Amino acid sequence: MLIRIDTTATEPIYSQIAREVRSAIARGEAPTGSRLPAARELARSLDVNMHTVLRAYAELREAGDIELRPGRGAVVLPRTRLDSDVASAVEHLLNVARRKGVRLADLHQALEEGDTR
Amino acid sequence: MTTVRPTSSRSLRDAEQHARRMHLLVAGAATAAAALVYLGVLLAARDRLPDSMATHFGLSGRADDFMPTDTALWVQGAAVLGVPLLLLVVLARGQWWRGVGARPTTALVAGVGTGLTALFVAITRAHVDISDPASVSITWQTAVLALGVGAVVATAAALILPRALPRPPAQPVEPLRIAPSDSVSWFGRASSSRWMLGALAIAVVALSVLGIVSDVWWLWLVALGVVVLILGVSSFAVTIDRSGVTWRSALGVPRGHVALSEIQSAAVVEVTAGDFGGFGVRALPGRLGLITRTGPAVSVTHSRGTLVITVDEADTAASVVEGLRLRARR
Repeated sequence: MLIRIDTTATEPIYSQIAREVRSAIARGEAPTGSRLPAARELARSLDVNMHTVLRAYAELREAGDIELRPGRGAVVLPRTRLDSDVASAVEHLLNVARRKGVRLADLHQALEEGDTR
Repeated sequence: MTTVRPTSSRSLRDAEQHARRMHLLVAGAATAAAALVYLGVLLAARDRLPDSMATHFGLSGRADDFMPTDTALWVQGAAVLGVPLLLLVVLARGQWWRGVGARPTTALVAGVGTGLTALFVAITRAHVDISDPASVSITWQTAVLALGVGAVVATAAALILPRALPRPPAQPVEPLRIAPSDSVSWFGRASSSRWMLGALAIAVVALSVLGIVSDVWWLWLVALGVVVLILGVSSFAVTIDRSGVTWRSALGVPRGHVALSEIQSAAVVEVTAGDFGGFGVRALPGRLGLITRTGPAVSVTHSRGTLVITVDEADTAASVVEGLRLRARR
């Protein structure tokens, strides 16, 4: 599972970590039932504060992507299937973004911003 | 480390085919010859053997354990043919002819088979035309002779077998592009197949059952030791980040670390169990292998040697190492 964060980006680091975990799950690098690295371990490896990682994991739990079990750590939950209308809209959005050369990270940010508006 | 002459993949394939044929032929021929000799002695001596045979001898050479002759002969025959065959099947699963220890391994199989046969032939011969098996004795010279037969056959086998195969070239990977402000961590795992874990679990259950029925209490300790060993060598967590490559077993030990500054290159190699002489934590001169399965593995060359790990997504692992290394060099 590859986690890459940009320490100079405006997007908060916890949100970058959550996004990276989500895309690792989507890519199949973290299958259902597998364990994410312990928060302490990931924090040390990325050279960030452990609370930042814990916040990212909390967000993933809120979203239903992972489950936090005492003693077992963060476990990946089965993925929720998207509604077919939404799935085709996503595909359309990705096609447009690819044609216009918009980076996935920027697209993510646009979606996040649109959500808070 | 010795450098390997560049070989094309075609000549490598031919060399491997030749090696496989030679190893199977030598091991098979030694086993078959031993079995035939044993069968010949058996047919010749069958009608002149007593009802029961001595099967165990004390240090003095006197017989101290006996078995009905039919059973004893079956057990001996099963050992003559079964032990080398079982070894060959297990070894062939790991394509042992590809490994650095291929020649001594085949030699050992040939030597064990023929050595056992020589011993059993001597024991059977000692029973010919004898009515009381308790009077049979085996001198230490006989045991040494059997050992000698095995050693001669093993040496002969090692002499005719081809030299160790050149290592297949490592596949270079595209380095991951990492910006100076990026922080990158890769978490991977090298795990044994379900088949392997199943077989090991059966071994533990068998040992435990044996412990219960035989009342030999230390068999429990052996079973416990096997469980600890399995946990220690069947699954490894691997982390790749700015500090380098860190690995540890499911138990926590054994563990290890290669600093990024020590790493010279990373690539993908195809490994089989034979390449490292088996599964688990394999230390060879200048090479350390964490081998849990056959297939693609990440190979990290550093200033103290080479670390090979059969991680899932070995190509990603190699490209992350290369990316981190290139960024650190800039």
